[in-house]
Amino acid sequence: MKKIKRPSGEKVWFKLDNAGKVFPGQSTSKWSNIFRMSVILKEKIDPELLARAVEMVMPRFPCFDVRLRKGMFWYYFEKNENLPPVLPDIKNPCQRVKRKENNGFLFRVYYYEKRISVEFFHALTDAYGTVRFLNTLTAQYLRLQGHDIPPGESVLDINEPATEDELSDAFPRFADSKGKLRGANKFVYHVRGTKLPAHMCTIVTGTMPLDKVKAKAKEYGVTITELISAELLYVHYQMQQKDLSRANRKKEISVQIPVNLRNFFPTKTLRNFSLAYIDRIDPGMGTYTFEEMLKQVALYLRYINNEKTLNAMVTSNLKLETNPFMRILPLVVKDAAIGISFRLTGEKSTTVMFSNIGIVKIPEEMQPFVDRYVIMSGPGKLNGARCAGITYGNSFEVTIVSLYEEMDIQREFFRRMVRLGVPVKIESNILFDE
Amino acid sequence: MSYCVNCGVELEKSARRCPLCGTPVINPVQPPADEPPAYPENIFIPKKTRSRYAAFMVTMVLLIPNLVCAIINLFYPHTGHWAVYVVSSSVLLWIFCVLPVFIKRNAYLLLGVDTAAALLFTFIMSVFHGRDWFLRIALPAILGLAVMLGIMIYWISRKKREWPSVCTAVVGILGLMSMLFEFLISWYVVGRPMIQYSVIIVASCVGLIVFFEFAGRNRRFRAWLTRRFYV
Repeated sequence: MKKIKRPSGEKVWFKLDNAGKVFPGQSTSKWSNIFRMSVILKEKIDPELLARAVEMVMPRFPCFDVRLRKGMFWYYFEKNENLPPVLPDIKNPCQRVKRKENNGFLFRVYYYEKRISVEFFHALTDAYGTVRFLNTLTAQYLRLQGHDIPPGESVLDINEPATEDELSDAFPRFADSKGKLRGANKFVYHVRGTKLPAHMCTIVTGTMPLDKVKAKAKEYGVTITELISAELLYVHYQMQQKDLSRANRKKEISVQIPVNLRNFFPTKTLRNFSLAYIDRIDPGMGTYTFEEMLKQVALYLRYINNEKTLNAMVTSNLKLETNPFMRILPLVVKDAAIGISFRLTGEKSTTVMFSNIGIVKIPEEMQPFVDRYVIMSGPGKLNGARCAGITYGNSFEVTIVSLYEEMDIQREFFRRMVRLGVPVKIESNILFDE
Repeated sequence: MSYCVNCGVELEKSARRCPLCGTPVINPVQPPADEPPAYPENIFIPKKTRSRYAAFMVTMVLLIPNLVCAIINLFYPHTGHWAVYVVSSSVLLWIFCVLPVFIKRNAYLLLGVDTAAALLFTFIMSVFHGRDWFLRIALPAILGLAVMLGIMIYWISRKKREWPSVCTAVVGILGLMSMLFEFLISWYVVGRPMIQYSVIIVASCVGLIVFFEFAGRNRRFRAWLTRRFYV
């Protein structure tokens, strides 16, 4: 890849945001916390045009136009003088991130047939920022094709500079809770299987009509997030009850549900600003039916989903970062501590994850060119399946990414959706050798 | 568009099997189309950098004390040539342990380099001790071992060997080497070549070879062994 030098004045640099600080330490040579979002257009992608669009869009996103550097005490982002390469898509997305690969960028842009995909290292941003970036990029690509697309909704105006609010770390701005959170995370049940090679993962995307899912959720009196989370929990619950080990059958099962804090606090930051709830079921309490589980999941989510609790969670996260003893530890020690604690406890408290991005809104002029969106979280280290959902128009897409060969969870989940009366269309990266 | 008869989900137009359950798609009305699949064929295989990084670190760690020793020895020549031992053993260690990280493909080249390094090391040692054992013991022993290892590499690279026959080969080499060593050493020390003590080793090697050959031929016995001793 040819490196193009762009003129730059003084080096711009950013601190990592509070949530992003843990991700570089968690990365290993084979795994990073990464997620991917794709837009499927109606015509084949022209890579040269896309590369030009990327170049034009980058100045609008100074917080993504960075490389990761090591300081004495913390990692930091520094302005990257190169351009991000536009790569042909691969069969095994969500690869680990390396600081020196990909011209130093922590996100990747892929194209394949009618699809533009971006993969972001979680240290840079969360799904909100990714939606903004992908849609601004797609709009610019369409403009280069000769269409007139005005900015608006999730398409940012590339002629305006990034605002202070967009580039800020929103966590310290809103953390002022005096409350204390109780309860430690327990180690929960995990589905085990035959591991694929470290660079592979299975991806299954199910496309469902939104109105049907919505109607079904309404019938139960819950939201879509609650319905899907409960379905995932129930599938895992069924798997767990078949487990041969008695100790495994007694463990709790939990679903991790990330929440976008921008819905609760007035900011539009493009950097990380999300947290995750953990919703648990204890099979020791007795046999659960699906309806009971759904009720439990929904009620707990509604009980916990409020600004006060979130503020307390943010504040307690921030305390660790602002602790003077933590701050003066050299980066090497911090990295080692984060790495070890993540390996020991990280994913052990969640059985499955469901991240619902919600509805993607784009300007009316852009809608005729866009078919649908797909979002996927990279495979976890322990979680047999990580699940993410996104809605555009009437298509609700749920993608399950797994690091195991077995497809039991995916099969059971989508079959259950079909049984609920929701038609599902499947696409996958698995091809059988014939 | 076809549906999986087993799962009830709609499939991609190009799908020949259901990704969820593997059931083949048999739709006479609409056979699988030649549309591009949802994901391309090319698989990204990440580069392994970690072993090289470790190799670099080991090299650096070895380099520093060696340089220090060499420099000190240069400043105090009257203390003898002791730095030669340090440096030559470090070089030998580096070639044996670190070089395999860099030469991965060519086993013969690695064997050649290792043999040359071992010969050079023993030669330096014999020169500094002022003895003539290099030509009479070290050279034939090392060359003999290298030839045997070379034959074994060739034998393994021809096709995949079962573990009992690999064990047979290793034990065989051990027996032959013990004979060669005793032959050379007794010739050098006593003055005439003889084979006495290595007979014990060779006998036990023969016993092991018989055992492994039996294990290799008898499928049930081999299965039992694999079952009992899997790690």
